[in-house]
Amino acid sequence: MKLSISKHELNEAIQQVAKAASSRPAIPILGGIKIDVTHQGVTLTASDTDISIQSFIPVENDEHVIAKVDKPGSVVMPSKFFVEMIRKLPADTIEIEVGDSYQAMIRSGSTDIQMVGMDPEEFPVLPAVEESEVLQIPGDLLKAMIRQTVFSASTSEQTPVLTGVLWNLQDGLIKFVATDRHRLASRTAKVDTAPEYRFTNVVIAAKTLVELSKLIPDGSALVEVVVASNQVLFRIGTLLFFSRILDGTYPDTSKIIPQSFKTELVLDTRKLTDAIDRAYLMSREEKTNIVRLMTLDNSMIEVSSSSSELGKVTEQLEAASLEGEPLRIAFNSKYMLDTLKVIDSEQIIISFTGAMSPIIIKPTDHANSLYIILPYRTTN
Amino acid sequence: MNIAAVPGQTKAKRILQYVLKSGKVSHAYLFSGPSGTGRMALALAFAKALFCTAGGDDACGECLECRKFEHGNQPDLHRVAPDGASVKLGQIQELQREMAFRTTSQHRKVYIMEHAETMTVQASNSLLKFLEEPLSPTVAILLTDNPLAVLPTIRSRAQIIPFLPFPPEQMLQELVNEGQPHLLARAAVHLASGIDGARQLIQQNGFAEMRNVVIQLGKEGLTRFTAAMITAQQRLFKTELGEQSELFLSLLLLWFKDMIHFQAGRQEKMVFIDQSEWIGTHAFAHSVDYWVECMEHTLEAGKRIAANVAPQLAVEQLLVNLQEG
Repeated sequence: MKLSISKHELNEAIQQVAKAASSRPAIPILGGIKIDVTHQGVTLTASDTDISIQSFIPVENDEHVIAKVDKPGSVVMPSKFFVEMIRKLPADTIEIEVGDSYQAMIRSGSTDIQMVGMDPEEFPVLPAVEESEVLQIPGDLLKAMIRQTVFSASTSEQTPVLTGVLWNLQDGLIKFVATDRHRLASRTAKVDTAPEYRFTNVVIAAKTLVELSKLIPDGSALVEVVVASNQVLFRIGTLLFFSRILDGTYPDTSKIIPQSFKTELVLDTRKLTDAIDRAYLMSREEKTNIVRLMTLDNSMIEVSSSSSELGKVTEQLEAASLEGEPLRIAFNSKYMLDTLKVIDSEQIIISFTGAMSPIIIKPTDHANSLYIILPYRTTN
Repeated sequence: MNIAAVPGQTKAKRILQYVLKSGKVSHAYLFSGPSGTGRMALALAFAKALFCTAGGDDACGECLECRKFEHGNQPDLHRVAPDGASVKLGQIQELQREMAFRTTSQHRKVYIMEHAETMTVQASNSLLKFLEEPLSPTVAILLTDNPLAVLPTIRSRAQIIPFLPFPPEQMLQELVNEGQPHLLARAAVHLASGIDGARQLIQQNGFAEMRNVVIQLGKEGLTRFTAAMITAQQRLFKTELGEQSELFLSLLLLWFKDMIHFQAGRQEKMVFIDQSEWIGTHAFAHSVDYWVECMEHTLEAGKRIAANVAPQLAVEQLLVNLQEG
């Protein structure tokens, strides 16, 4: 393998992919960045097995030559050292030559570096992309969908599949679901894809989706998504982000959503968030996070919490509408706050079927989001 | 290393090679036997064969999966070892997290757990749930030298692969072929259950010196009580060897055993073969019963040390007992 390449372009691509390289790799090869050189360009890949990031540098861009390839080939370079070294090289152009047994020679200006590489064949294989089965999601929508669901995923490894977010695609409609058995977040959106393209039970680790979200630039530029048998690929410009799929069957959550309600409230999202936030300060001291909500007359509701040490917080709010039976319910204020903070609508509908039944929260202006919180059983 | 290259353990190897050939791979194996009998070596060789793409009853050593395995680059192999004194719940949960993803290729996921008997109750229960309901094809290889200390419900769900201590003759031959000192190897193979343990013993600081001390005390303890007491003081307890009283007693036991071997005409079984001449002139001075009694006194000293009697006191008492016959 032999090439010369623009330091700026190489450094930029390396910085992107290095985010996936593990600082304490489980296996030696994952401590490296794989470099694949063809006459079309240079592909850099890094992985920690959970996620992999790949970046492509074309040989030329808008008539501007970025790289000159003398001999195609592949090598895996030790990530930590390679990243630092490329960043600190003096000249604008870098020459890389790899000989037998993956000995690499890197030249830049008057600097010569010899580095021992690793066998690229041993690097984890990333799935081949079936271009026919692609779905396109605007970046800002994907980021919003991630933000509005990941918080409900479980943080306990006891049931690994619940540490992820379930993705289902059917009839051009994509649905994200996350639950930790105490709460649930669901978000649906129409996406651009072939109508016959569908998948079910694709579960992506919440941690991975948070990392993906950081890589998606602001704006509505399209992100392409391809689901393979064991990984999902996201194409963000010239960057490819691969995520492994969690094993196991995600529980069917549709059965826990009530179809009829005894009490329904429409409330101002901001005002309710602030009221619960204040009540949360008190409930947090008790380590229980319990906040109570009670309906009053004249479309009023009362939010309260108490602490045996500190005292009590009570606040009354006016509901935009209040229909159905009187209600007194207790819930985890942190779960409610997490939910309210991701709802972008000005008003929300909260529906109840009783003091011990799931609390359903939805925005008023669209039917794309649904949140469930299980109430607490309290003695008073 | 391939299965065929693992020394000894013919029965265990035969079982595993049949499993590979027939394709009837169980989801859990318990490799049970004394430490140093090659359990880890065979576990790794078996795992390598499970990943090998060539098929057959052993790893080919040439395919990409074998090369990845040899270089430690097999992402679907996971290893768990005790964190301190035990395998903890957090380690099992981390293992579950690692195993929770769909496999990166067509083969199974494999995990090897050392000292499975050290799992805490919570860790055992968590592993049990995992053993019962693996998400995808998974093979668990649990290693233990005390199968009865492993949760019975785990034991019943695993196929037990027995590992037998190596015959000393076989170990001796192997160690000598490696170029280990013959006299030290002769002693080491009787003290370790496996070749690795014997090798470590030979290379241990002071093993050769301890052997010399045992020869001197073995001779003096029978005939010159005062000299024996001084030797024990000067060469044993005033040196670093004093901390290895267990090793001292084990070697002394072999010394008395050699007396019986000589009497029975089994000179080839002797450990202190370089002392044949001295042993030859003294072995018949007493009956076999006397030498057995000497061995009993030695074992008794070991029990006392285990019961927290000061090693020096226990050894001095032993020398008194030997003197009194």
